[in-house]
Amino acid sequence: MLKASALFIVIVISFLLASITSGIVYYTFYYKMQVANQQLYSKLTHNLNSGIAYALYLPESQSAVEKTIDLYGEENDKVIIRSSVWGVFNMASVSVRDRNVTLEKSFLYGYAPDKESNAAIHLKNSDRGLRLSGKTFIVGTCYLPQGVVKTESVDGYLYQGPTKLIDGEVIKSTETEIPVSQSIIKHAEELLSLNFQQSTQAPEKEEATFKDSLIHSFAEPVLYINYNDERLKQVTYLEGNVILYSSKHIDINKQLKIKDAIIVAPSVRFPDGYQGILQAICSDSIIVESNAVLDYPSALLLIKKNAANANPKIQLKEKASLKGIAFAYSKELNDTKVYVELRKESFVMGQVYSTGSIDCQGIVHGGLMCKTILLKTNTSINENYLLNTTIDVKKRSVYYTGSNLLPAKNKKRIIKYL
Amino acid sequence: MRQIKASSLLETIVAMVILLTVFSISIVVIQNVLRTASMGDRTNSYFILEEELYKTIQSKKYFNEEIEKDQFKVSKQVFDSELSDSLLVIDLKAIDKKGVVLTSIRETILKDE
Repeated sequence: MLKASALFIVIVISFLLASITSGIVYYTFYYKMQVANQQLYSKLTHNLNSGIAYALYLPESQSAVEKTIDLYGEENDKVIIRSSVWGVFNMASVSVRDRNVTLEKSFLYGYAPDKESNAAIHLKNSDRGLRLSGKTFIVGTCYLPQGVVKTESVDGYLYQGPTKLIDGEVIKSTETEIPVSQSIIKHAEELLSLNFQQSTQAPEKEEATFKDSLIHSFAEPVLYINYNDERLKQVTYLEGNVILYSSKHIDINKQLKIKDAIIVAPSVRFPDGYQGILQAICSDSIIVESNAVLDYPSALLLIKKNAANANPKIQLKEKASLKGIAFAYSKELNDTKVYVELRKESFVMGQVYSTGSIDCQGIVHGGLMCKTILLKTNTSINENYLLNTTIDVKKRSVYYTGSNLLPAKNKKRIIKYL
Repeated sequence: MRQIKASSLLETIVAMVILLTVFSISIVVIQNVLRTASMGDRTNSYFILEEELYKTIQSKKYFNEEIEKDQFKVSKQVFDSELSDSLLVIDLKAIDKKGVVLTSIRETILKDE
């Protein structure tokens, strides 16, 4: 017989209804929360992109500058922009915040080469035009002394390149120097003359960071590390907002992979087979041994400080590779001692600049800018000669972005996010 | 006479009260959920706006226009930023058939982008 227990049945039904209802309530709450989160992140992402656009619009600052802007004048879309110089490139950090969410992006930016800095060869005017020997290929606009290019044998090598000596326009160069951004030079000189031990306080967390990997965010202040610091010996990977410095020559440890950091020393040598993405700022010499690969965006910046230094140079040995900028500079305008040497089979994708001379026997996908090209052979030194070399500006990546060290009128472009 | 065991009047009344209370709560919740269903439209419109912004920047269509998209109308306004003449603001709004703005996004870009 059926038991007429109405209360019991109602409680069971109510329990079922309550369970379904609370499930729906939970689902709705969770859904609303996710939608709100998504909208918040979306708004912050758009504000971050807007901040990046604004940072690219701002003129370069040579010192660290922080600026807060209200994007739409409604007090709801505030963006903090910090801009500074990182080696030869400019750097900016953009951060946005709403409630407890903060989004931040740091990036390096520069300019695409333009006009003179986009030439395959830019030689300062002299009484000697360019001479080509052996298997030499040149593609791109060339600014040459007297607008002259000829073939001539050197050390027994006859010219064996294409009939059209230069695949591009040949323009007569002028006496005027290519203007160089003095602010970046000044910044680099300041780094070279900085007494790091006295002027910088190592961050408190420094002890904890010396593990096998040392990654220091660009959102934090620069971490200065003496290259001779014993603790650095256990580090095999170093990345980020770090300046490695030394008052003496640095022989980079092959096991230490460096990414995005800057090395400041009188001279530095990258060992055979070394790989990294870095900037080196030196006053005496930068040697990149055979098979070493410095990937984009790397920069080798040599600034002659000591007038007595007889041989300030950037040297890429056989099969060494640089993607970025090699820049050798002396304030003395007629100083031809400053030079860049690209040995046989070395490779550069980017720009090579020297206020003095360049000895180019390697392959350059990009351009050379200098006063003279010196070809040093076993028996002779020849001015404005190229032998068995390829200089092809069209093979440089269309996405290549250089520094504003060299003249560029194009708009700013992001080199990489850090 | 044989007696049948049944619920008392009080028991039945309590049961009815509980049932009514639970039902009324459920109805409120369901109404809320039905209202939340429009959030689906809101989310959809959001993705449509994101897509439109991407297309605008890619194809450099920097002018005002109204685009019919599914059940929404996308209103695009492009104007100079108050911060600089070199910057443009792209303001996109998704409007439903009743003329209600469901979502909006805006982004500032460099003019020659």
